[in-house]
Amino acid sequence: MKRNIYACIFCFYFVSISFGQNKKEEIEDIEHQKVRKNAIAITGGTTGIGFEYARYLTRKMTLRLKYNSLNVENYEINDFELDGQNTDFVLNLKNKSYDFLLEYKPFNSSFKLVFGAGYFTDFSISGNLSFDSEQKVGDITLTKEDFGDIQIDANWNSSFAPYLGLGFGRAIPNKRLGLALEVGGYFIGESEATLVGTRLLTPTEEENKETIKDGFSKLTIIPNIQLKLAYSF
Amino acid sequence: MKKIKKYNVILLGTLLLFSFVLIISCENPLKDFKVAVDTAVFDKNIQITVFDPVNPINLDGSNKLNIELLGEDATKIVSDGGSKTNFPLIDGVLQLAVNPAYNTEDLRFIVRVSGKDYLTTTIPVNINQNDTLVNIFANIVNIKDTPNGVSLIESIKPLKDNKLNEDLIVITDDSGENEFTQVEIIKDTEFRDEAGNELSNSGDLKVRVVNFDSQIDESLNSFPGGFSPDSVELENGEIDNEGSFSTAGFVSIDMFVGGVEVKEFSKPITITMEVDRDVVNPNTGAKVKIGDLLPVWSYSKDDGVWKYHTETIIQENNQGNLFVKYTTTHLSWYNLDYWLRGCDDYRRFDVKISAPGVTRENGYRLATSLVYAGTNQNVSYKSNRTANFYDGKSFGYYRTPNTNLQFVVYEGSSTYAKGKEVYRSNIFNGCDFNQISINLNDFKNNLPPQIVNVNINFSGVCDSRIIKPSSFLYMLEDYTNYRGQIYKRSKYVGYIRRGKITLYNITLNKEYEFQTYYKGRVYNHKYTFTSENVDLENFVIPDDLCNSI
Repeated sequence: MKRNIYACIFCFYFVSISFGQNKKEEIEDIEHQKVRKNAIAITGGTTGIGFEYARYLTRKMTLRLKYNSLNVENYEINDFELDGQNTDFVLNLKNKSYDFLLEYKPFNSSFKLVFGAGYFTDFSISGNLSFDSEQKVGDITLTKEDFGDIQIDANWNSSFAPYLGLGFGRAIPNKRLGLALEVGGYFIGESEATLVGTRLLTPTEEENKETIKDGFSKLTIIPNIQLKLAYSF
Repeated sequence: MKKIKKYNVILLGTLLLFSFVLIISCENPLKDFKVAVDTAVFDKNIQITVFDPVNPINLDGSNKLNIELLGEDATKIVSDGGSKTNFPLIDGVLQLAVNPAYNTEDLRFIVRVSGKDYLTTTIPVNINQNDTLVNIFANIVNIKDTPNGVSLIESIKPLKDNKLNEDLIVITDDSGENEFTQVEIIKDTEFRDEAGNELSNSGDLKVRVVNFDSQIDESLNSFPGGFSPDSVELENGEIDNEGSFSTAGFVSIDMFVGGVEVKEFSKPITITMEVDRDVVNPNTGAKVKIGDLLPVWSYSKDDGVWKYHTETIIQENNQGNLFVKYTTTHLSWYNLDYWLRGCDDYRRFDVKISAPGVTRENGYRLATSLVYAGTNQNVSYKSNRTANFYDGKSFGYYRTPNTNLQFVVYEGSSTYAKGKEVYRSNIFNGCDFNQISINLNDFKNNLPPQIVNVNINFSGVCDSRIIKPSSFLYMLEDYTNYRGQIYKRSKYVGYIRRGKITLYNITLNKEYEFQTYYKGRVYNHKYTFTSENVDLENFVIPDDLCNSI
């Protein structure tokens, strides 16, 4: 929750900067479109690192083509609390997707609406949970492996998802370099979620089959919060 | 400026609304997740019930018998509580497990069971790398109160200069009720301990001879290690693990000088054993007769291995009884046995059940025997067993003998309480047929009514943690010994695997008392089933058990 609050504060800050534009900038905007119609950008956000190419279509409309890639491997979170118990959580997150977007600026400002679609060739989240300590049973020490683990996988492979977003900052900056913030969501639909428990945690699998199904069925939107650094030419 | 401010409000509102939607969409999918834990900390579990068939309550309570694990793999075995040195026996129930470090190995060890007033026995245990459960039921003989078919005699004789000063003959009951064994020790015999040292100035000689009848179940069930041992040492010294015994009787002989166990003698002792005329020679399919050869095997209580001892010729005494005679210089169990290879070591003879309308869930568990045709003599120890009867079920026997056999079904659900015979198949040859078919409808009407199978799905709670237990489950039931005396005994009824078990032959609306054992303690719970499917969820597990899990 704290992270969400920080994000909102950041948004307010950015918004306040963006609304600081004046008429002079609007004129610059119109002027520079006459000479620089393209931009390339690097983005960073919830869907990973992205590379974008943008081109003006009209004064208010810009076409954006983007490739996103994210690969978080074996990110360990110790003392992850699950059902009141401390576990070791190993997270894997993978995304390979392509965006086909139109950016629309309804006002004479950097505020923009973005719509289009993302094509996810490989988007998956997996987590491995295990108890974080050894345990002695009589003269035998049982390791984490002896206790088993819980593996949760959710994937949205080869899914086509409509996208809607909004933000501030132009896809093709007025100056050579420009920053932009965008918040949006891919409406991707339900995932295929599986849960496997091994060894002593095998009953967890049966106990939570519906929980996992229900929990991930609500994750139909992939959030996209991204910062972009663009270079116009 | 006013316009920009208006935009500010609208755009900011839009952004906040959008962010809110996103945050809502990111609800934690694990928020209702419940961790449920299996209690089976060991993958490979061994359950051994040691039973006193005359008076089971003699073994009620803790550690009435001494348990030792022998053999090179014994160190790889632990108690159900993980102890490498302490193996608690409660109500005759011993629960062991394989140390997880050795899960991938084939293990073999011996459980040596001894105790005051009990004949020491050893139970060989084999657990292969693919096994997860091993269940063994072993009788132990109370020397003060022997089971049906087991006759015991003790004789004490003073020694002079550490030697017998006259011949000594010790003979079990020869009244004709049971088969007898006679042990003859000649004058001037000296006695030696395990290390070969002469036992001198130690006191009197005590001789104990226990004869086991070949035709009585209680007696046969006391056979150490069962009649299908993992391996035996043949006459030529080769180890054979592809046969089974067909017994004609066996005897245990123990001697002590001043309380020290005798292992060897300076002069051979002579053993004479009666042979029942109803014993069937599995190699011919005919009952034994004068002049037949009958091998003798000896059993080491130290390593649980049967070894070929000698071959005897069946003779007849003045009373018209058949007997064999042989000599030995060391003490052990001696077994008159045919070593049965069967017609094909790897061939499985199947009994296939046809029972239209009877499924696994409402099937019958019944006692069965595979016997020599026209007799009640089981072809091997393993052919006396319980089986589940439902449509399509089949079960098999290896190394069936090349002779005429019959398959017999009883009304009872325990090999110790078979009840009446309800079905006997036509005669068939054990090698000519690979399969016989049994139709349950042929005898279903003769079975006791109102028995059902109950499927149980159990989960308990320790604090807020969900427990799906894995454990051996026992049920207290009435047991009637051969004298007609009724006792309560703890009967193994199955393994609860992650909270699930099917109990066979349950009467609805009758109270049952169940038991589980863990770390040397017994936990009892009474329950009355009112339906065939029972969900016992959120059962509050006692704190003391929770703390030990």
